[in-house]
Amino acid sequence: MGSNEIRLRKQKLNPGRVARHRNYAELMRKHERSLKTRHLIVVLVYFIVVLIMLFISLMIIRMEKKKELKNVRAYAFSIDHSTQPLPVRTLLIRE
Amino acid sequence: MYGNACDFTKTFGLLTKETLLQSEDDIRNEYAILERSGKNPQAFGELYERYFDRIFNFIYRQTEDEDLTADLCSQTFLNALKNANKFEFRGVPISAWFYRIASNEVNKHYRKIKKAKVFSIEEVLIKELIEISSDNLPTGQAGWSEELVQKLVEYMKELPTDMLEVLQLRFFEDKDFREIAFILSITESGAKMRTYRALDKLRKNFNLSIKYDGK
Repeated sequence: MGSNEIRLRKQKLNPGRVARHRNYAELMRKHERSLKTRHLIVVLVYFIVVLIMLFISLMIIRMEKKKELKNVRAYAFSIDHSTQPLPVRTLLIRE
Repeated sequence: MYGNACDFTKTFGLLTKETLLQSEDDIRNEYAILERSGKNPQAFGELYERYFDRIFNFIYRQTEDEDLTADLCSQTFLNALKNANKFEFRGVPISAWFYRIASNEVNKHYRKIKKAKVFSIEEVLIKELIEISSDNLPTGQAGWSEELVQKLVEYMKELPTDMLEVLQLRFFEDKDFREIAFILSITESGAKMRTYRALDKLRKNFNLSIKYDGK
């Protein structure tokens, strides 16, 4: 309650003084500027989004490559350990 | 003190009512201009020229600073132009939308500077709005006195901001309750209630008889 300041003016605002501040050309300039800024922001946001997508896809590719390499290594290791040398006795029989 | 002293008469002739009352066609025409402004900003000039003075005065009554008013007014029209595409026909004149943006800009400014809101009222306007009936004046007291004006100002200081906003729109900007509700984002009944409460307080404080058309 009562947190406002009430001021009493003797006169109404002079229309000439109001007209001094009327400037449509300036408003148009500001509008053009804000449009340009908005476009710039949109382009920047798109650029950042594309950059993030690119980064994510690169990360995925890298991870998949790593996974593939790991699989190949594991396969090679399993082959390596599954080929046991034949016992001497069987060799002799064959001969 | 002012027992039966005044006759509070609502006089709506301040902004020449004929120029303010708009038909449905006029409102639709203005919406069409606004729609065009979305594609061609130059079309907005017509609305700017038509409403600049009113919006400027509306903001000035809440700031009493010409340069600040010019900035806020410019921001108001800039915001309107930016959002011209988004605005939909809601039955209220375009001016109500401008008032709404202006009101938001003023509130934003006061939130930023953290100072008490200023309501700058023309003495002439108060005297035009509140007509003192000389029949009700006690003997020896002539119409408006400095003391009475000061009392009224003191009374207005006691009113909460939301009530002052409604009173300003209702009596100084000559807006109807539907528009006030739209401008302040409240319900129409809420706007009416605030006005009647303020007028009721005025009646009690000053013992005035109020003639009010309740439009």
